[in-house]
Amino acid sequence: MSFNRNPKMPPGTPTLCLGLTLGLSLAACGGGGGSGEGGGGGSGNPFVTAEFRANYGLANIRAANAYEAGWEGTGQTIAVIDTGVDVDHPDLDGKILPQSTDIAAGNGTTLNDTFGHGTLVAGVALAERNGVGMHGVAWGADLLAIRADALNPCDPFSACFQDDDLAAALNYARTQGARIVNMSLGGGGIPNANFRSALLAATNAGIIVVIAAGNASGANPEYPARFAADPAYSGLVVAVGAVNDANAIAGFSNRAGVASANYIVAPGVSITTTSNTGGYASANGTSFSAPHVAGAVAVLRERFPTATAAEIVEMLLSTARDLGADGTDAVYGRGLLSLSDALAPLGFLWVPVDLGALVEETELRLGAAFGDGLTQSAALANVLALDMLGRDFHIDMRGAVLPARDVRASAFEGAVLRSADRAVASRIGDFGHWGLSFTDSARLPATLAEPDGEDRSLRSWWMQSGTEHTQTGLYYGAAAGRGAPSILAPIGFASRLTLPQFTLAGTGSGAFLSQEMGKTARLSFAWHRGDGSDPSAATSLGQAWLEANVGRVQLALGLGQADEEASLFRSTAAGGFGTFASTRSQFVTLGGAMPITTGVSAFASLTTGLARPDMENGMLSGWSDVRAASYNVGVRWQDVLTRGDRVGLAFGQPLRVEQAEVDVTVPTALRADGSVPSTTRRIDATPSGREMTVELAYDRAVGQAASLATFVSVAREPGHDRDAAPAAFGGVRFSLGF
Amino acid sequence: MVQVGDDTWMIAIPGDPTCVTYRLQSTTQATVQALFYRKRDGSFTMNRLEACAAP
Repeated sequence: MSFNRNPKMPPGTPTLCLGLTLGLSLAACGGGGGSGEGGGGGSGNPFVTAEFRANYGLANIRAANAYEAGWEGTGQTIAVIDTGVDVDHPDLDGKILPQSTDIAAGNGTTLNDTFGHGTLVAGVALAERNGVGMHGVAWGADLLAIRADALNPCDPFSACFQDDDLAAALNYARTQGARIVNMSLGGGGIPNANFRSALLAATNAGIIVVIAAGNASGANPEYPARFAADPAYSGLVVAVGAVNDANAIAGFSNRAGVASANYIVAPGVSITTTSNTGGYASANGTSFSAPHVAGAVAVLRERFPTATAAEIVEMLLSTARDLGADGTDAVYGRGLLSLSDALAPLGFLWVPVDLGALVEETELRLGAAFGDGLTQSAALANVLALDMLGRDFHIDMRGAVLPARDVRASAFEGAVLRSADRAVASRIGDFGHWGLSFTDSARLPATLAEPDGEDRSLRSWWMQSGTEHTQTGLYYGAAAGRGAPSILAPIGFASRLTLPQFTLAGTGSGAFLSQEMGKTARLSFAWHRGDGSDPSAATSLGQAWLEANVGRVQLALGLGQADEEASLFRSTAAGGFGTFASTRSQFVTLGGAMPITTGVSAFASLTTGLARPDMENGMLSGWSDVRAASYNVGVRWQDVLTRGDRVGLAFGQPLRVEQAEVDVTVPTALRADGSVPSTTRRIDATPSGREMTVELAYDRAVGQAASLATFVSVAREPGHDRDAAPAAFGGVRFSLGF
Repeated sequence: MVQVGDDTWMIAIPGDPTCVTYRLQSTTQATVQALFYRKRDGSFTMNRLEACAAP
């Protein structure tokens, strides 16, 4: 039972070996594709109808995404302080609240909109979606129409508003419980104290007041929109300027100026909306920009019912599409209203479980033995996460479970791309031998298609000594597996099928001792300590082997133990999934080989593993015992094409988790009081498929000082993924000695 | 500038010369922030299509 790694080199001869390994993928592996979120205002959105397109403003503010997500302002009330409303318009009559009123009734007017402006404004904000004409931004919202225009001193063909009437209108809206007010009016200088007091009372009550900026092309908004710049109103007054269909500021629109921090633009040129004739009209002015924003506020209030008024305004302003000069500017203020962006998560997302963790840092990288386990778990399909404003979002976290890397890479685990060995060996009289070799090599990258750019150079050394009955060895910077019984040697390049426990360990250092026990048995011990370069690799691996010849049959029994510091069968977790505590796993290997005829032998092996993992601080906990298994059977031929060559054919299964369950605890909702309940489900963590592999390998000497080895492998359900297409891969290794 | 009330005027703003556009202004009162167009009869409307041909 020789452990000479290169039996073709005579002992005592200094050697320099050059090795070259070429890996080749013969066919692409089919992999599971990720699924992305839908949404968008394009032709695929069922809400982009003719009625939607009638007002281009809806597309420009990206409203369709909101509708597709189910948000249209239902349950919200928009108070429109204006010239009344056409109470019979089919797009409005079903949503006019009975509390609607003519606040300035002493002027001899009624709620019914004789002038027409209020109807135009209300339509933009909330006209019904009924397949006819156009619909408003918040077509699910209700209207609190408050007529406040004054006939005296205004001409009946124009409409103006007295400050005291506007103040009364604001107070009425507040006492009726409105939380959104639209005022498409302005000019006439600074409003009086009565108005300012009413506006202050409204904002102090948490009402968001949306006001048209004005049509005088001024550098600043006209009053009362100018109050958007006044901190006394707690940032709840929003001034709105007008842009055209190309999102360019309208020539007539008052600019942001001193109110830029609370100024936003929305479409206000050629806006199709409801008219007081029962039909529709095309209208222009910042009067029609403001209700786009008021409608958006209603949609946001529906989506985020626990958000404060200040948070709603922050959502609106901070997600506006930047126009003009970078950032907030004196023309466009915060930019163009974007409803879809206002509904999307703002800043980071975090999972409120245990101590909390960022979504982007949450991942579970599965080791090869787990295959695709947990990647399709329904328990992870709907996880509550909070953004930086504390708003709740439900996200699919199945994509955060990453299956093991390309199975082709694991086939070359530990193999080198190129190496240069320097070795010296010598006899010790007739007693024994010793050898020492140094190797500079480069490991193959993790994936052959996309080298990871990592420095994969290795410098290792290997010292071996022995007598006729005893072998010892020390090594540094090499993969585990030295000292294993020869009957368990892989026929390919790596130990995927025969010695799967060694795939848990990365490079490191170690030692082995092997002692013959009589003429038919050998007892070996090997110990490997990882170098820590791979956080998923075991920190240590101990193995004991008992080999025995029973008649013509060679048997091997192995008992091993692997310690992983923060992984489980090379699976690692981070963020909201928690982290693995130290895991110890035990392995039992039983193997055998027997000659069939001259130069032909059969072999088989079975390895089972058991781990008792634990996890902390995350969504995963309560692991069951994890059991895994690997096996293979095969045949070897010698002297097939030339003297000394070998052919091997093996069929088997690489290490696969056969039994594993885990509790998955996910936060599910955000209550009004800020608490977050969660649910726990116990799920099966085993992979969906079972990889079965056929390997064919060949090696031979080439001349006196070179050797050639090659293998081809075909895997069904590679990576233990039931849906993966079969994969074929192979490799060639050429070694030249000097 | 066209006076339309005791304290309200329609003020022409730059734009399409084929369809003069007006804004409403008052020195003491807030007014609606829509643009207006003059019809053939001299009255004003907020509906551009009532006053001018489609652009």
